[in-house]
Amino acid sequence: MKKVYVAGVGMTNFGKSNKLGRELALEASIMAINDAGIKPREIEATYVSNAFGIAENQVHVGPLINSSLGIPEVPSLTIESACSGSSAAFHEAYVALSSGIHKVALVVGYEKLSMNPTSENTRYFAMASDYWFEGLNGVTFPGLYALMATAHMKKYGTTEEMLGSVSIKNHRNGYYNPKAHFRKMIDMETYLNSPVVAYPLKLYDSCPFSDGASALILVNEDFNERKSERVQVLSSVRSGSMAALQDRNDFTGIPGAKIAAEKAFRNSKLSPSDISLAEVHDCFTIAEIMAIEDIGFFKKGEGGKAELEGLTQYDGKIPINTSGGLKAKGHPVSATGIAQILEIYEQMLYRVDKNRQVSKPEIGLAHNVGATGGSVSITILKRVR
Amino acid sequence: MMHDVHGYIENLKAGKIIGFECSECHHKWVTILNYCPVCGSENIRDSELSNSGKVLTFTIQKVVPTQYQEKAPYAIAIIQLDDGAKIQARIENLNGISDLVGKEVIFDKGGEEGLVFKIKKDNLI
Repeated sequence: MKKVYVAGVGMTNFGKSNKLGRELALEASIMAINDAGIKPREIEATYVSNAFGIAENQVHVGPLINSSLGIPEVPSLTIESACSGSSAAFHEAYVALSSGIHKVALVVGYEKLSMNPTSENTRYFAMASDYWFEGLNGVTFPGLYALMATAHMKKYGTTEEMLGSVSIKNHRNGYYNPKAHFRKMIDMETYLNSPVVAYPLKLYDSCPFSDGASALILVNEDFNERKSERVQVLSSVRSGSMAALQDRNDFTGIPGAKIAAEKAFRNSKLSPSDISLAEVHDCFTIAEIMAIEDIGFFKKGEGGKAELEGLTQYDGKIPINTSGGLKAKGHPVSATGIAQILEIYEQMLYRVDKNRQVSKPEIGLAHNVGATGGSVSITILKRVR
Repeated sequence: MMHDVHGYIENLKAGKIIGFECSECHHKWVTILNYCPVCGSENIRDSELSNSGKVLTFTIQKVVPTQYQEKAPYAIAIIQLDDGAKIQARIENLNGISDLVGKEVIFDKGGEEGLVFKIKKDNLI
């Protein structure tokens, strides 16, 4: 297998945008191309991720991007994997580059949904469940995670304040991220008083619907002469879980996340204690608590306590979501996976605000979940000199 | 011939929860899975599931999809039926109950508006 490196990254602001999804995707792509210091003509394959383009009357965006870049002959592919779309696209690019089929790939994820009312977007998101056995009953996405939250709180004594500490931390980190959707700090009182969305989850437990795009250039070792500073992909693993929550034995974690993390650690001959920072899929606060347990940073049932004790702060034992996470940075569905990898990349190059810069970012992990865990991606990255 | 999604909905309308049972390990479930999720057997058959069970976990939906605005707030629960199958349903007769875990529930109705269970009368406290 050939070694694979992230060579450059790009990201639009996350939040509400008046631009079209295809424009956001192109903007992030050009930023990544410039950051990598390559010419579009050096790209050999384009991997695009998008879930709800049909809402904008625009699918098949790969050829639009490639045409704009002057490379219409380059193959493109659009990948949907709910909220884990762009990490799935990243994985496919990784497979092609590590096998040597291609040397340089563009990976871009984007979403544009702010023109829809919230109730309509809530309906869209429920489509990623097993619709006839879940969404049809009137459960929403927050509702599905709330089912897991209730189970976790009952079994392990996880409290509202523990959930709140995830939200407060991620809002704090987002405050120092100029591209984040929300740039305001919140306190426990604000958290506790926020309205219930799906009990036990409140507004401040939930990530927003955001517009945005993120992109990166992935290269393999045959193309790796230009830059001295690079970030290597040590492992890229995908897994899954039973699509419908009711078909799982346990609701307090995501089985596919545990499987993917174990395999990624095995592949890279690393363990959770080797990780300097992680971006995890905090679509809801409970999801971050389950993630840090599933990955193995903390024992099952102790994730909430770790959050409350501040162990996951940017200067804590294991910094989690220094970008602000989905909670504060925002969640443009198919842009999220690449945005997580981008945060780790920028941390490793010491490009982020000092108020959220991790001191020695040597090895990073990204954890991206589609729906309630039907799809999961784990990516491990290493800073190389 | 095993039932499909539409068959499941039609059966709900007729007052029956038809799911599947593995002929080898006897695991029961309701979603459309063509191989037994426990033992992997393809030897599965239609099976009428119990119409009552207990709540394993729940949420109370305050913000709901467009088509359910008039029903809110309602609970969504994962229920373990008396025969062991796990099923997700909407519960509308909350009666001010804040914790549904362990509550005994019974099949109420089903169809194009999903599956509805109700809390049994003597559990409405």
